[in-house]
Amino acid sequence: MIAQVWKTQQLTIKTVEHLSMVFMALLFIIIIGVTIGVFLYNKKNLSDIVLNILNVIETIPELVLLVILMPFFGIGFKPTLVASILYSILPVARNTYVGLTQVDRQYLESARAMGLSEREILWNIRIPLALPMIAAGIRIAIVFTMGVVTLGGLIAAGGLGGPIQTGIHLYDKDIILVTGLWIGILAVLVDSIGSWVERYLNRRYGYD
Amino acid sequence: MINYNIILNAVGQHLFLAYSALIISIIIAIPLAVLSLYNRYLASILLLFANLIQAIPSFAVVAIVVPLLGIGFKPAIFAIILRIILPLFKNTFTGLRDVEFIYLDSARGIGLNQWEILRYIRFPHAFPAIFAGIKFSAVIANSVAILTSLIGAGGLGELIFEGLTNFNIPKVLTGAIPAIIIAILLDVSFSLIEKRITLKY
Amino acid sequence: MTSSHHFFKKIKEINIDSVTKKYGSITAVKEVSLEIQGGELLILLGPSGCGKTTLLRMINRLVEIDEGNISINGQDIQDFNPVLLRKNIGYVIQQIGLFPHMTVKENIGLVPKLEGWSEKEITGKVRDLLELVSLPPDQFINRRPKQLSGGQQQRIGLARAMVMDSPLLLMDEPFGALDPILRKQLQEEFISIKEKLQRTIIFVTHDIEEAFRLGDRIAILKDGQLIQLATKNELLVNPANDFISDIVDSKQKFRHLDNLTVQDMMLPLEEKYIFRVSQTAESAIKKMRDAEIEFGIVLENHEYRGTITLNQLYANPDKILGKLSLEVPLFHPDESVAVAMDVMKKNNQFIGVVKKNKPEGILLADELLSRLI
Repeated sequence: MIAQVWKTQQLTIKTVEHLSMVFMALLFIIIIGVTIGVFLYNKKNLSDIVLNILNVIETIPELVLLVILMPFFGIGFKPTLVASILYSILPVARNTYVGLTQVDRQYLESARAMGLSEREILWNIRIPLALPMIAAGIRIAIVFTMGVVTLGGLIAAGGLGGPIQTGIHLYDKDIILVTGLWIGILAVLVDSIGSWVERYLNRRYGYD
Repeated sequence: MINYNIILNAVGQHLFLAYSALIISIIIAIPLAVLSLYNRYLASILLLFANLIQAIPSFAVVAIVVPLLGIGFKPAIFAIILRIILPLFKNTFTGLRDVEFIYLDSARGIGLNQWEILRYIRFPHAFPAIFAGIKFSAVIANSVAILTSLIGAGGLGELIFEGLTNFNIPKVLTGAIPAIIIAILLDVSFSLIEKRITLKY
Repeated sequence: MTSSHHFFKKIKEINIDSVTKKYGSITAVKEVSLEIQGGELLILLGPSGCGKTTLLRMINRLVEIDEGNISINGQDIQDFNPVLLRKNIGYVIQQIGLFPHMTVKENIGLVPKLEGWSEKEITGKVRDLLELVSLPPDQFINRRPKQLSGGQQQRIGLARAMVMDSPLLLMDEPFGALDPILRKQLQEEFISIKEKLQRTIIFVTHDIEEAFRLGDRIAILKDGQLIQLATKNELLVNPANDFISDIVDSKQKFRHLDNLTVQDMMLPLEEKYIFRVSQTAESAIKKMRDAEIEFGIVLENHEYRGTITLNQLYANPDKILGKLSLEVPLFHPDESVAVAMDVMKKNNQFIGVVKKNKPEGILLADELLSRLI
């Protein structure tokens, strides 16, 4: 049964499409998210406003977000990518900001007293010590992105969302089960990689 | 062109769907959390599942319910519950569990039994965490409820999907805009309540 | 290798002129004036909240002066760029502040690296400094702070403060968070390091004993004001007011000196300091590290055999304790403290073991007391 569904729904290609979209989105998310985080660190008075706006975007149902972008980006790959990015920036930006600002005072005091400039402190102390937190944020972003990309299947973006939609339309239990479970496994696998990276960074750069 | 009745209807269905799921989940999750305080095995299994299942896209969860329970309202509620019950559980559980040792020790010292400790020490302490869990789950319930229209549960999602299939943008918007408004209202009201609660504790 | 920013090769004097610092309605430091002589170790002594730490931090401009000024070798510190100024001044704090994500070498070598030293230069300097603070370089150079005990971390903190060969060292209660015997050990090591380095050091503490042991001159502060600045002897003999004489306790100690026995002043022998002759140096090192101490008493069936220090253990990792233990002065609990202090002074020891039949306690040399004898 599995083999048949796999073939007819072309799951291999869809999986590749799916993961490529996630990967591409992640690149943008990390770059934009961390940049915003650092920017907010430099301009702390803006942090509340910006984080609040991003927070509001978070509460909007993903499908709705996707759909709203369609007038601007058409259907398919583009709006899916943009929706993923918009949705996932918050965890990365917020964690970057918090990680950078909440470094233990004794380290900052030692660094200042040693004669490090604010810039040197940022690069040598704050950023390394913030990495575990940033990684945690990226991990959350990955989960979000997987979700949005799956939804993208509904608006012809390719990826594994398509077969699921087909399965529902045809009311074909096999298709739904196989694809659904496969997405689940994939998601858990990807998240485990994320968790492994997070744990590694915690050991290397963490406080305990 | 815009039929307010239909929209109101859809909103009603949507809210009913989301909130019944939320309430049912709360009713199940909190006792589960309490039970887990006293049963390590249960706690570790549930926590493990909680972390795993959260990673799975909502869309997949909604779809998988179909082969199991068919389509319509009941499977939809089930799907939403599946999605939100574990975060609710996790928040409640850690809120109840992570009370500082000093408080537990003095409570035991002055002669409170486990039930009294639960009621007077753990629960008040856990309130902020429980509330955060409810807020988080309400937002997700809202999101997933939209998706469930795919499996025949009606609601705002249905408007959106119908609009999509016919390339009828205004129709899509009639579904989308109320959804956004509800989401924002949700967030704002929960945040306000959250502020009042955290001030209290 | 030389930093392009070496401001002063040697300190001739530091002038603190009527310096004031206010935080809102609270005056932390009030019109304090001091002159610090080049090459001396000046102690800033006083109770919590007296302004000593604030005063210290005004020197390297971590805290900016409200009124008055501070000049080094005649130059106002306001004329210097604060970041560059700090590269010329070493700074050690109580919480140590070693960066958890860097190895010992990276911690000590951070500023040299930013200054563009070569890898080889940095490694060489780090090794020299580790030897100076009695930590075998091969063992410690790549360790991380979480693998170090408190005493070891503090030594690294000191090494880090000295890496740029700054002629001025500021130290803020560096030994405050350590085991009492360990504190004495580090103080002793510090005294010998100080002699080798010939720097100007300003040292903040609230511990009179520490002040008397380490300082050339002592400045006593209270409520943000300087009460007296003098050498140890002057303070004992000519306290400026009751507050000072109470601190120094000269009258009290004089009065009781004849009656004080060793037992009155000893530290009880705790389990953590006890070791057996048959133990290996390696297991002893581990036990000391876990207990955050660097000293131990070696017993053979409850019989006193000798003492050991962590530094000895590092030097002889393969031996068993029976072969390593050193002799220290032994005292009977009923002996007079005056006599005991005298013996320790003559033998230049700061630790003694108190025993009747079996070891009962540890006696640490009391600097104040020794001066009164």
